[in-house]
Amino acid sequence: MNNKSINQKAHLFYALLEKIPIAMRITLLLLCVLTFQLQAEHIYSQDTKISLDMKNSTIEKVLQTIEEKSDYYFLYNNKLINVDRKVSVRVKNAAISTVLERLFNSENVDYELKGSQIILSPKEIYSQINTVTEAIQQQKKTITGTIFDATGVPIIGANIIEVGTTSGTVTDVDGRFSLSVEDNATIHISYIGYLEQSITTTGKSVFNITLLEDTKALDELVVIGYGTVRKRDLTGSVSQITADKFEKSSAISTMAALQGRIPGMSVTIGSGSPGDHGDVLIHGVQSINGTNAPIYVIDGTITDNSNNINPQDVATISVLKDASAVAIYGSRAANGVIVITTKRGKDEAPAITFRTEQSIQQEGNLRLKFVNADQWVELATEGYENARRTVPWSSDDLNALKGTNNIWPDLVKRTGYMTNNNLSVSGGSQKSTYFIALNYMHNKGIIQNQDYSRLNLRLNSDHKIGKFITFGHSFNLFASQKGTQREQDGRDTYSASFRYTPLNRMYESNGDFATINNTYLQGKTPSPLWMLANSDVSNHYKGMSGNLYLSLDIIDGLKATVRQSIEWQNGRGTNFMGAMDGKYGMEGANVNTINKNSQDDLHYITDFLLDFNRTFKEVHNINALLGYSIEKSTSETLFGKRGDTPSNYIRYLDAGDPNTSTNGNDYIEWAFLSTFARVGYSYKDKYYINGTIRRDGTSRLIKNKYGAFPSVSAAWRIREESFMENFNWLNELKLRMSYGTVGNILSITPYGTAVYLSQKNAVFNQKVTVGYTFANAVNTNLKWESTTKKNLGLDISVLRNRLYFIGDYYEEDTRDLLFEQPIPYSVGLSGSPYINAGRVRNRGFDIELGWRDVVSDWKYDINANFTHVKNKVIDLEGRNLMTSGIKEGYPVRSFFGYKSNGLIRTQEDLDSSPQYPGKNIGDIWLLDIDSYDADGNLTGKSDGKVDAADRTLFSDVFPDFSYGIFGSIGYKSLTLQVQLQGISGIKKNMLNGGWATDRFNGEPNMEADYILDRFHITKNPDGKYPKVDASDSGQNGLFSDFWLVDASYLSIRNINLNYNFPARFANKLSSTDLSVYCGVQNLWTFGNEYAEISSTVSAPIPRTITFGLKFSF
Amino acid sequence: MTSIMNNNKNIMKVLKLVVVSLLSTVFFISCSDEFLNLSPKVQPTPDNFLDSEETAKKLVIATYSPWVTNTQMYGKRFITICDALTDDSGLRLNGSSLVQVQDWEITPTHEYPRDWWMHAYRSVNAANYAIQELTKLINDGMAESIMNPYIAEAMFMRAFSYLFLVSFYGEVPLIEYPLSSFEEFSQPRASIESIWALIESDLNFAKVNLTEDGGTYKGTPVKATAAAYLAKAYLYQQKYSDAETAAREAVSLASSEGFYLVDDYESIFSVNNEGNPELLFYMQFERNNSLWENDLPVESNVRDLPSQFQHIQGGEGWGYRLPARDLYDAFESDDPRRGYTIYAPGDVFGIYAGAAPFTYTNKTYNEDGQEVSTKNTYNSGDIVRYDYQWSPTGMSVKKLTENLADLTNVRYAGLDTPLMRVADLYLILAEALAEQGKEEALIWVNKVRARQSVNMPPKTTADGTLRNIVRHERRVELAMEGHRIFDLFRWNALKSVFGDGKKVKLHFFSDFLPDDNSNKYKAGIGLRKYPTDHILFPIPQNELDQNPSIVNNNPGY
Repeated sequence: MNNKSINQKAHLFYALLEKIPIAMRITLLLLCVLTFQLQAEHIYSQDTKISLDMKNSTIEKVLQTIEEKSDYYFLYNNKLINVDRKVSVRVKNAAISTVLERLFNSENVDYELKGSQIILSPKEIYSQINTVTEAIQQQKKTITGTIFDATGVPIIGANIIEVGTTSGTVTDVDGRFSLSVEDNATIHISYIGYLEQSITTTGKSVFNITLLEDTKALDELVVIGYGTVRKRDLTGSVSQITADKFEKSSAISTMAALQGRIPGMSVTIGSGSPGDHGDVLIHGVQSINGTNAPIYVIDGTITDNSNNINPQDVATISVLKDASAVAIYGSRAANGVIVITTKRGKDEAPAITFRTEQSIQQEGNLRLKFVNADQWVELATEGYENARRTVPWSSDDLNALKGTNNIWPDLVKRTGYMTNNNLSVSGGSQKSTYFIALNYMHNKGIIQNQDYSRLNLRLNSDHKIGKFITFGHSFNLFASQKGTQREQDGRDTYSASFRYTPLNRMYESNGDFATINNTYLQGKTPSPLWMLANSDVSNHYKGMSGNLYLSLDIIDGLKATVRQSIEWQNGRGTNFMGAMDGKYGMEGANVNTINKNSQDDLHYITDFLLDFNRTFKEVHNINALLGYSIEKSTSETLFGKRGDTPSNYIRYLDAGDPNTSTNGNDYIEWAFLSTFARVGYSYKDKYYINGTIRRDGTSRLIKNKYGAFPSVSAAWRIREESFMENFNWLNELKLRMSYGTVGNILSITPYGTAVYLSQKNAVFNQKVTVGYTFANAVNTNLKWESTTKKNLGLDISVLRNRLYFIGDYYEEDTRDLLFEQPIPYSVGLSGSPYINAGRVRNRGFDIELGWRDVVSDWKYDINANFTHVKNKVIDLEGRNLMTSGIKEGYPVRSFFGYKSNGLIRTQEDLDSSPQYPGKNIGDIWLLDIDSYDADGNLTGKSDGKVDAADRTLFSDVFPDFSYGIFGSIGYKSLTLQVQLQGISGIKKNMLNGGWATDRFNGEPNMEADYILDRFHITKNPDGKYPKVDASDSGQNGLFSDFWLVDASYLSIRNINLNYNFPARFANKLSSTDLSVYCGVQNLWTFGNEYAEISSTVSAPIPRTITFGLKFSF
Repeated sequence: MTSIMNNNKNIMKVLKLVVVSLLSTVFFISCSDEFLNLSPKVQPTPDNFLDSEETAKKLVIATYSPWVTNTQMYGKRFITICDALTDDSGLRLNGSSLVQVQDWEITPTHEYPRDWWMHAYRSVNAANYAIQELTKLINDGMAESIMNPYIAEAMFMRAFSYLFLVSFYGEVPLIEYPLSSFEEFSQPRASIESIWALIESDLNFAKVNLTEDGGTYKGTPVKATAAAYLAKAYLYQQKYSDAETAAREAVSLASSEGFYLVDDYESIFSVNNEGNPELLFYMQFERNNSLWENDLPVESNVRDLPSQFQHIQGGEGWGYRLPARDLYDAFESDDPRRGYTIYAPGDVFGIYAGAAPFTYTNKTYNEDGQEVSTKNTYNSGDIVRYDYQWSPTGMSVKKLTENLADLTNVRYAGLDTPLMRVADLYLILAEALAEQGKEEALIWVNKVRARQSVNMPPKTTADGTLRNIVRHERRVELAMEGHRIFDLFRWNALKSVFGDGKKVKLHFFSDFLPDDNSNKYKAGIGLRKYPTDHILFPIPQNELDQNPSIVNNNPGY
């Protein structure tokens, strides 16, 4: 075919395509793709295993054999590399690097893997070491030993040399070595990818040595957007963590396990309800109203959460932070990107791993304390007295309740339990590899009836067809179930328990749920115990997510890939509310109601990728990526509701009264079309420059549909400069810089800029009659919020990579801020439409510092990270958003309210300065600090009255810094890991605690015990908190800085102790790896009880004690 | 290296295909607009919605929605709160916001004045949108005769909302068309005159263009309704002569459209007699429909009675609406309307129907102010009398209650809420006449008093001033229907009602309660801080915060 005929065919192809509907076009394309096919990203090529058995062959012959047996081919210059040398090689399933090491480590030859190329070059610095298997030296002593990796697997081909001599050896296939050394020699053990070790041989002749994997090694592959790079080639700010660093933390979700582990990333677990996964924030709050959540990319597929995957399937997690790393994700990347890869099979015999963890859960140490029954009555009485109201109960009422002192939030708690069981099989041949894992976890939460279970099946495989085509898939099938209860107004059992006072008994003497026939002692709220028995909110989810890819090696270094990703989820919910007998005196339904709902979500992405990576003239590396992506998501919900099933135990629609049935159906869809490209150039692994751009089109904006998001970055590996040659102690010194712009579109709901009419009904002819009107405010001119990120990074690694430092300074400017502009009620429209409101800046730094070493049988690793970010509103384009806590120069969403001066304690206090209307002795003293002029503008001057003008901003809404410390220490087979996490310099409004902090305002609720220290003119004139008052005439609940409490904390997130059984013991059980471990999560948190949770009425974060067993064979 | 050469042929073949496949992606870009133009499929858009009379109706129906569906409005608590702000009623003080209502400690952040404002303006917006869109239809050729009744109805609802707003808040933003851009969103307070001018012109248009029978939707306003509200609007402005004229026209229209004083006073408020000829305007609700709940009956029904008596009202009520002794005393002692409106101690409450005898200790006060307990054993069929222990004020409301037994949820009552009835119209006319010194006022007052089931003797000039006679009649005839707060506002009478010397008796046995009992009197403590007698509710703080065009609040806030 000549070029012309290709063009004609292409033309025909187009003409044909134009006549078919889009869905079919996509199918067609996919078919094309399947026919042609795609390129696997060779993330794992270094792991390719090879077996050789050659005697007395030339190096050239060996290299040819390797080329035949693998995808690799060698590039070398015959004049520089001696390939005629004869060697004997016998390796079985050895890594290619091992083989090369053995072939060349006595020669002045360096090798380098570039994709599927292996470049052989002469060593620049001549090695002083010759490896000989037979030592010629005078023998004083023969030592023997075995070298293992951290998991107890023998390391083949590790180098052992006697320091100061030329004698040395390498380990055999069983990891064994034997070497003759001086009596008091020091041996140095090294192996690529592992930390080197020196051991003295004094008084010992048998050594079992464990080498620690050097995950910071510069050749480590780091997963980035649409590809991987060697760590040394990174130009952006990326933190990667591998599974072994968090897999024993017993966290339910992947993200929860990372609390405090990644510099610049905070994970907040708002409640301890089973199945709550936590909120992730990277580099601070960018958006005022928009989402600040990052996006997730799981095995290449973009998604908005990682909750459905099994944490034990995860191989690596990369957190992409700066513009150069995230810009490839364009309009969704402003909040950072978390790239997760799952485990894949290797070219080896099937390995089966079984891991089981059993945990118990109890309430953590931060507990709200409550008033007891006597205190409750005393304070409530005082509240009515202070309100000048007659106490609305009699002494008879109280006498009938004598002896009851129930702390209801505790009554609905229990000891939680969690089981987590994982079975995986992985393996493969040279042509096909697979990883299959089955996981079942069940968590019985510490609040009664709060349960969560999840079943996962992971199916990953990769296959080679011929020499050029690779295809494979990553799939996660999941089913989960989450259960709780609720009452009429949507409260769950735990939050409802705050509406029962200590006076409430649990049961009547006849076993019935107890009630108090006085509405001021018991609100008309169902007993939490009644709720447990008679209501149910449960949600079942099932679905799958993953992708199929087909990839093709076109020419040297050029690969094409088509990947079809799909996420499908069906959620099915039951919402049952039992009928309440009037005798319980509750405000509820006379008949029960059952509500069933179903939601079907389908999200697909088709990616076309063209990837190029090639080194020219051995020093110029060029890599490039070109991609096109089609993405669409649809979501449809259905619900049905009926009342009056025959009993509270029948909870299906058909059993209900058909006359009461109602139903609903909604449908939402959104789409993206994106083009993206990345080009990188590096010279001699010393200078790097990178450019990225993505152009996104979105359905979420009526106008302004398209946006382009570019970034550039550069890096300089100073260590590689010739003037650094003599700094042998320095392993890496690298400077990184990046600049770019990304967007935040996901904050805008799918129809966030669409104009539509809303159903607004009324009743006529005694029947509901449908009405429609234009009711929602909308801003059709909206555009996306964009963030310009600047990053300056420094990587240092010294002393044989044992001490390392990674530092990043960044400035992120978010423009066209999405702000939900509250509109005056008089407009008559509901909703606060998004506007593009101005500019916010986050400026901060992340530091990671670590030290690791192995000293004979001891190995340790300590890593600390520290994050500081300062958030500031820069420009609001003249808008006054102060009432929303937003003002230039302050952090977004600062606390907005009055400045206080403690309490008004005396008549003199009350009279001496202006007071807010209604204030009296014992109320919070609000200060007169500002006033309005005639036009309603603030003057900054006090005016003798305390009113709305005196409200101001308080900044401590974000932590000054957050930090994490991870330490690991191992002695032989025993390893102890400790993980600490903390934040400092942050405040919370303690009144956000809900009912427990409503200060006896006339509703019968459980109250936190801080209120015992309330002001009372005679009983407690020095009280810290305002007087209790059933009418709250002093409006002490108005926000003022009086209620701000320090919310700093330091938490011992995780401690665990792991024991690896010795190989000889494990082998008896035909196990290759047998270990047991135990750990405690959230052992202790130092801080006050308001620090960690978002509200006192959300389930407390449990302490989890875990026992685990891992068994591989 | 040789291996690369060997593969070149295969590669070329595949390469060509890949090129085609990648080029084809370019094709997708070309059809991107179609792919990215996604609009809601569930909701109609303005472009595809309005095409017929049916859709015109839908636009108008939306104007009622804010008044009907919200718990702060007629859906639940509007009437309860309105009455609790007057000398007619107390409130079950469950939480500080209700205490603040009873004590008149109203602030700009108080939830009720805030939500009333919001929902009234949502109705205004729906009306403005309907008027705008229906006018477009006429411009597009739709017959005025078909469209005008709908426009008239939207205008009626706009006037209804503004009448409420101007009565409660005084000068408010006057918005006459849908606001669509941020530049328009901050509207200043308009003069009282301009607001009334819009109300009058809307009601005049409505009076002319509304139908006489409400069309297919029973309960929509008719000409007489518009005329009655026009009379009310004039009355509120103290344009008594205009009010008289308008009221006379309304009376005549009402009569010709089939409205009259219903004989049975109690039946006006019965759930079994909804849409009766007394009612010129009312808000409708549907029974046993969770989305269209009306909590008023359960809010009204007695709460603290023993469970053995709960069958009488079909379950336990919540007892939030609590008549005050002052209202009880306002009735002439032989006025049967008192019994229709209030349960007072000793009143027949119902018949005991339990299978087993039930012994209960009834309490009351004797003439000397001593509490007297009587142990009574009730057998099936015995009369149960109301006991003061069942309410914090010793009384409960009877008007606008409903037996809850048939409801699937006590919240799902379907009792309609009367807003304008013939008696109200007569008293509007009477007031307009009285304020002009015309004795004809007595005729209209006496018509109301002469209702068959009321049958009170006629008032004469000997019974006091015309003004006081009319005002008294309004209070008792319309008691516990939420009207009195409007009257006290416009009469500037709130402070005098709660004045320092005058203490409103709250509890039925107020005279016997010790002075420190907070149920003894209703003092309206917070009213003392208002600098004038002309009291209004505060413009909500949210409005002040978000609307830079409004700087000053009403006096006293």
